[in-house]
Amino acid sequence: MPSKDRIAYFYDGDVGNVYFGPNHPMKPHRLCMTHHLVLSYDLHKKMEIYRPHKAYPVELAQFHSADYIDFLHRVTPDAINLFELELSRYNLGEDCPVFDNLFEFCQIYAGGTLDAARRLNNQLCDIAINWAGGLHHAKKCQASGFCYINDLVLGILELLKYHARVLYIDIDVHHGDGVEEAFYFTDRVMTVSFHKYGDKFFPGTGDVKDIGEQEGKYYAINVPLKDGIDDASFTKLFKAIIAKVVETYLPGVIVLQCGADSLAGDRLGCFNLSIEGHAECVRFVKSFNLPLLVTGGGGYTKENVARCWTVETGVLLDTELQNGIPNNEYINYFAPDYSLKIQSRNMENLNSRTYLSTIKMQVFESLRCIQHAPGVQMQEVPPDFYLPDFDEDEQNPDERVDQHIQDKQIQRDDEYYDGDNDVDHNNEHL
Amino acid sequence: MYSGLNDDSSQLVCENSREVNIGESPLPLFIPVLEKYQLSDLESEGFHSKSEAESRNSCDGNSAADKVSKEQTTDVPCDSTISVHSCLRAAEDAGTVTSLVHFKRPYGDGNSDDVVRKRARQKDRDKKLVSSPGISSLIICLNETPASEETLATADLDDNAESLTDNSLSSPCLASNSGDRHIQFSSCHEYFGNDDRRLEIDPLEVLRSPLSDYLHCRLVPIGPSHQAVIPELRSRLALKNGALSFDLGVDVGSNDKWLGACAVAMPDLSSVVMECQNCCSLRECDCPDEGSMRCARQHIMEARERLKLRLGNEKFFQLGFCEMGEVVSQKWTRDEETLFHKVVLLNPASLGRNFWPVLSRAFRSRSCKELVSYYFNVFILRKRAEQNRFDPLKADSDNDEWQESSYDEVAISDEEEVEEDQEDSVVESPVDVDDVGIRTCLSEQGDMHDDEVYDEDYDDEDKGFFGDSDGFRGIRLKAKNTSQTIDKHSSDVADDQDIQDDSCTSYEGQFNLCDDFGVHGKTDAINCITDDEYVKGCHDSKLWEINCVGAVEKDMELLPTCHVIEEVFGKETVENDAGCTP
Repeated sequence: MPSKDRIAYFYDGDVGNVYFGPNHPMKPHRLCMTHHLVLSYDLHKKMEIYRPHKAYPVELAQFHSADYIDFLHRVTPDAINLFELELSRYNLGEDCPVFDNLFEFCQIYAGGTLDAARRLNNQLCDIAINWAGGLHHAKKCQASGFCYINDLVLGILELLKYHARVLYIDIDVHHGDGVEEAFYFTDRVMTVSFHKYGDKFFPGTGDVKDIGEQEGKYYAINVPLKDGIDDASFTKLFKAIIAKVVETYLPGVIVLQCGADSLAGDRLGCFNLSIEGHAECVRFVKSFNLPLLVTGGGGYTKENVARCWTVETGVLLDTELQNGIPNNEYINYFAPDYSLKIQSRNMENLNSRTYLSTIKMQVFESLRCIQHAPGVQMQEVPPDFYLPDFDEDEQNPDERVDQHIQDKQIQRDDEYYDGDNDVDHNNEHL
Repeated sequence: MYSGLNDDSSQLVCENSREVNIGESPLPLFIPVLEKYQLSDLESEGFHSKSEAESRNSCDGNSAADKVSKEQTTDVPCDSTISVHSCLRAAEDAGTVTSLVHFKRPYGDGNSDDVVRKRARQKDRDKKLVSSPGISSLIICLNETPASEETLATADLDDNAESLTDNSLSSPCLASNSGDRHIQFSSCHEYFGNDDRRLEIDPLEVLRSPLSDYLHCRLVPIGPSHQAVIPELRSRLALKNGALSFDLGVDVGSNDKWLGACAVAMPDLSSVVMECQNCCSLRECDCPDEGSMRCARQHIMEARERLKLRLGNEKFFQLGFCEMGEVVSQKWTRDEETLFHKVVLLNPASLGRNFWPVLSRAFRSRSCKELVSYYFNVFILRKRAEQNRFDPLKADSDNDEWQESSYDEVAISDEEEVEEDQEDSVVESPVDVDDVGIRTCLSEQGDMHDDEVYDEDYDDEDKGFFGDSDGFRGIRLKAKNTSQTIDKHSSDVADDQDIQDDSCTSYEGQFNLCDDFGVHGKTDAINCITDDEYVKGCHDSKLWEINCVGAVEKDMELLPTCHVIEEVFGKETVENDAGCTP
């Protein structure tokens, strides 16, 4: 039965034509492969396809610091020798190399998520998909984990303008630390991340006991997992937790990051999920019939990424795809089986039932502390200590804060260029 | 800032959090001693302690206090939101507090510089410590470590617990006195142990403390450098053109362009019939040479045509299909393709080289996007197609150094070793460039014997790089391998076995080829297909020029660049093929 949901799908061909560098596992070309496969299955017949606008620096600065954006915009691979200090400051170089067309790449994938969020806000679609997005590690002032601009935070900020509560779900094998950090102190965004934790696994955060702080306490949920989790364990835990979260938090919109590095056989991952298991999570989230923004994320075995996100596009369209991959330009990548399925690995599931049960129990305990709407406060003006360099006299609660913040951000970031230590400013508000 | 933590609302939250701690009542005032945390997890966070020292020494405000500690946290059986200041006071008064704070390994420890990297094989010990600018403040949230089936090692308590310095209450790093940090204890959970030692925490001291595998701390950066600014909620009436302009502070004009440009409009779902997709896969065809490259290409082309018919030309173009697949190679000449292949082959990442800047130099008329597009849509795709036919179960489309020819040369080592090298060249860290550079330097002095040069760790086709006193020898070997390889990739390129006699011509050809694509000048020509970044600073340039330049097939069309040849080889070198234009 065809889906009654309106699906908007965002893609720009230029996003795949960047190269992170030799031996770098992140290969945006996987997005071309995904797009091609999606269309080879005729899925374009059931959804709208949009080419996103390239996000302007001022849009990116809705979250990121202006000096960071400016540097990203200016830096080129030829000139990196001139910017050693800045590269260090913004964490560029190794995991996050400077490559040709880096900024444009960021603009495209961030623009996709922004456009998706705006279409949802305008109720022009029920589900919006941007497989190029989902770069959840990027911080406000620095890059991290192959992520430069945090499109998820930008998209969520956009959604927050018209939704009181946004639920963020992350099934990437890595902890969604950038998104969690951005919203760690607010209750208007509930972040839920399922990820590998421990053994020096990047980024090292995501303990079950990290539950948020201040107004955001209990509004961050972390599900730390061990190697080898399989479909049955994962989907059972996922459904139990997400069901409880939605029932408790009553979000107005859901943002789902579908990092495909949680699949078996991923170059960097260590889980043992099949595409069916991964897609089952997507199906489950869709079943709540809430406005839904779906993004990509990690995924370093590119043919599996293409398989996974194609299947999940089908899921979002309530369309089951034939297993045999139709002939297409990239068919060679899918040898030898040319199938949408991937093989699970013969690996031990280190997540015992006891362990998973304990994690679930702890998550449920946190959720018990939450009062759902109408108890959830809506912050009109962010608390002082979020913006320590704001002059209280200047703040007018009746005014929209955004313009203010925009100006202030630029001003503050100029200070950073001069190397001022803002600790002094902050101390005034302590 | 901390006043807010002691107000009524916070207390209420404290009450709530207390209730969360099911089963405990009342809570004794001591910090739990938890199981020994996996040191390996924390070793990698050693930057924390080192950066602490660095931040105090630095004047630019970058501070480790800004960093997010990735350590686990443990619970302190205090009210969750009261400051550590008051908690410590209470604990002291009770006299039953143990403090065991486990932070990162102490400063100076050799392992402490490692940082968790997303790329598992990165073992960069030189990483620059990064911190966000403008540290504001921190909340250290001490939470419980995740429940685990590991037993809690109480026995280690006495051995490992050390009293920390007695600076906690007046430490500039703590509580309300601190301009940098605020330590906040969250709700406690499990605990055990009972020690009379006072709870004394100086985070800075603790960070360098050699002890303790017990308490873990998560540092959550707070401030305008970390958190997003939450927009206020608006009514839907605000959804008009002006809203976005106001948000961004610029006139954005029509709202429509911020919603994406439509490439495929919404179909009429009621009339959509799910057509049977193209069921043909490469495994099902009637071709007599089923499964061959020709067969695959034919079916791919057929699929492409069908798709174009279904979409229409305009949509086909709009959706980017013209830029996908081997069809991209139609915009490239054969010469360009050959040069591209050569550049990639001669600058393998496994040897610490990077072919991308070389490609940029060699193809000045091509944009970076075009190069990347060709790389993925043609180069890697073809390689994968070959892998599929050669060894489908071990195909790895990320291995751009894969060579079918390397499997033929079993004499070098057994096949498994070669395959391991193939895999290693992709997965493992690149070969230590210094070693290679040193070999090259030594070879200049004639100290290296030929045998030593050809280290079995390197891919066979790369051995030609390591020259000896006879700079041409490497070229000959390299040329032989390269030409064999080129054969596999392009049937139009003739095998050239006479390269050693044509070294001058080769160079000329090489320079000419580069010149043909816009490379000008001697330096450019010489470096046009090699990664000169790699060789900088460790070689005699002239010898390196001779050694590193690859071979060019004889039958390629060459344009003369006599002045370049003369510069390098003197006037005796004369081009054979074409007239020399001075």
